[in-house]
Amino acid sequence: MKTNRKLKMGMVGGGSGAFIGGIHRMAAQLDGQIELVCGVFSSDADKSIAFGKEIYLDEDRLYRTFDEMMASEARRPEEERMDFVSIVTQNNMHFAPAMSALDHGFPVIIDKPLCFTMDEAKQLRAKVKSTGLPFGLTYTYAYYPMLIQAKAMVKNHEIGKVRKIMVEYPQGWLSDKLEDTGQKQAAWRSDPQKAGISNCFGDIGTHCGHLAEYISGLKITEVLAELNAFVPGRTLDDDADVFFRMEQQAQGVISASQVAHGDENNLKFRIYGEEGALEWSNTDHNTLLVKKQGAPTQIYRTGVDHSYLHEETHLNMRTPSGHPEGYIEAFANIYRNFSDHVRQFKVHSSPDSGGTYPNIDDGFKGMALVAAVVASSADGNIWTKIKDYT
Amino acid sequence: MGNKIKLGLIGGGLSSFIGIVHRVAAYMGENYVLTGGVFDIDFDKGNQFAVQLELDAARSYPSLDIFIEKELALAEEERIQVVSILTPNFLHFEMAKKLVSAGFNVICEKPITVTADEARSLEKLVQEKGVVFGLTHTYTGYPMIRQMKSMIAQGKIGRIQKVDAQYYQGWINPSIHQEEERKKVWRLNPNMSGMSCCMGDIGVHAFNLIEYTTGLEIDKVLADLDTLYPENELDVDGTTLLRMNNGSRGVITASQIATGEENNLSIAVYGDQGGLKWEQEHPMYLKHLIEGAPTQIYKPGNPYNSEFALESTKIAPGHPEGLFDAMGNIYNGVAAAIQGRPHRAGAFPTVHDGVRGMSFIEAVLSSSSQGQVWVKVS
Repeated sequence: MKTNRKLKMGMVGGGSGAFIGGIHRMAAQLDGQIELVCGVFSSDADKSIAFGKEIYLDEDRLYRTFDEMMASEARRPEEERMDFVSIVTQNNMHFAPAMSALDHGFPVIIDKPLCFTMDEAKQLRAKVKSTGLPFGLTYTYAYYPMLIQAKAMVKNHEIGKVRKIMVEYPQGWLSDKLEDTGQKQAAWRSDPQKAGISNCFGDIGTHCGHLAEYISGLKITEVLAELNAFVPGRTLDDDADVFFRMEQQAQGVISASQVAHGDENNLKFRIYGEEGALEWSNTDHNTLLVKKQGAPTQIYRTGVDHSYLHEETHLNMRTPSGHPEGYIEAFANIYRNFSDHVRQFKVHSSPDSGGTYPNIDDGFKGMALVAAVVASSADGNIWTKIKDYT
Repeated sequence: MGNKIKLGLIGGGLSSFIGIVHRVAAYMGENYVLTGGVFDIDFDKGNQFAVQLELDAARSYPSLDIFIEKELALAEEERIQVVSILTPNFLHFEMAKKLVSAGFNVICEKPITVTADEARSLEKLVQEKGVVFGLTHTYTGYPMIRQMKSMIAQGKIGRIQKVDAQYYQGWINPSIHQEEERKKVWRLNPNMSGMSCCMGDIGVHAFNLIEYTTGLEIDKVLADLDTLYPENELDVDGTTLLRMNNGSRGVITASQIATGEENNLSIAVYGDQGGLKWEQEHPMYLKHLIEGAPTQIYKPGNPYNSEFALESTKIAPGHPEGLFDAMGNIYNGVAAAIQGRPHRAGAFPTVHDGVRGMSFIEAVLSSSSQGQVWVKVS
């Protein structure tokens, strides 16, 4: 393929009224590396086509089903067809389009969670491994520059051997029974038929688990969890507390909630090693605090001019110090890193070297973590091993 | 009572805000015992206060003259050793003069006097009498301000090239817009407050913090003051450009009509090697800015601080100290001086700081009234 052109993206889901679809489109196009060329944006074909027109796509590339899109795009000449698919549907609609895309030879980037059931996760992982296609997952927070910096500092032994990780993620948006008002996100997230076995932990607890593994470089091996459904009439959890044990005797705790009144998206991450600690908060996301006992706390800040930041961090920033980047840029880091790999893959068939974007293994581990957390809570808060880790 | 210093108060009775700050500060270091005073301009109220504090009723006096006469008649070991002056500004000079002349040590609220000449004559008198004179520029008592002073003296930020002090309050806003309301505010009355409101009350703190932390003197000022209404006599807002005696520049911005602000004092000092920043509403944090390196957050009580800063903290790191503790440190400094114990330069602001402050206020007023011209702080 020619490499001196934008990569062409197709999209499944993310039509009118969806929050995350617009974010994906902005993030994908932010760095000028990717253009949206086709899509199926809704399970209602008429709505899908109407939405595609709204965002000025070619009418002959607005499809009625994802199967039609995969087959039709695959028939186009190589330089014209889409280069990869972005899947941003509800949880229960991840698996089928992802399998279809891979079967037609298209790399996939997908919102988390990976899919709906462990069985699907196993099939999907096997498919990705057998096709060797690039497969990305949008664990957004991990690609904030200061968390990339945190990962690099841990890897570089700057806080010593990891002892303890604390991740908290309070949100307040489900403090009341929002799903009864017809609010779209609340309705599907609280519905076991659409969200799966967990709401709160599956949606935001998984981010916490991913960050713990991503930054420490260690795997979570077992969990002891308590899930709560505080708001009456809810079948899925709206609150979760989880102890976890990791490789190399590291330990941690996750506390996630959707009924924390007044909290917007207060993700906070702390990691303590034998020689120091790192602290990051989504409310001050361009700052990383570096702490050592008996020394002044250091404030690391984003900025392409900050030579004290690691190379990995520099690869994921765009602006000079004092000019804040945010959520969409973090999302865009995943898209850019993923698209870099798709280019290399198309030319050299290079395998995923890991670590520059969340991949199928991260997605699989997220599914396995949710399954273990739900089992631990249901079994009366007992230590539960995470199964099927590779 | 042992060796505690016997403290007298002039003003500051009952519900006076500043009286509470001074009394708590005096108790904190366990160096003082409140013994007597002239607690209120209304003698009955003063006595009532003495009863409330379970003081010896005989040591509650109706006036300063009687205070001095009766206290001097007591045996030296019974006598009040230091007197805190907490009255409205226009009374400071008269009272301080009488007390110093009679040989009492003095702790005085700022501004020290109403004019710079008064301050100079007081400084001369203090020197002649050899008494201790503390001026309560409270903010110099914060541990992280003392750490800032130490770090600048140690050359941690190199040669100073820019200073920026801001002091924003909003409390005059609700009173300034109607004449009736305005009349109730003593700080807006020249007969009570002196020649300036905003610069005299709070701008002078910013001035003092700059000279205190940097060790430099402000040489010249160019000021633009605002009274907001022509019929309002005193400034409620002002900006002052500074030339320091090392040639560097700076700015003081002060306002009492910064609507919604509480007591938002901050100072930033920049040298050729780095910068230091501090905010009064977050007094536990001193930021050390270093070019090309992560900013460092200094917090009180940690061993990396200077001895001066460490001596100015009473409790373990992570336990917040505040305004009372800062004032307490100044009282402790004065106590050390009274008892002849060793103490550091900067342990408490002196009568000389008062002279500097008054000279600053006069220079600022002169500059603004002449149409914003450079005026030397003499």
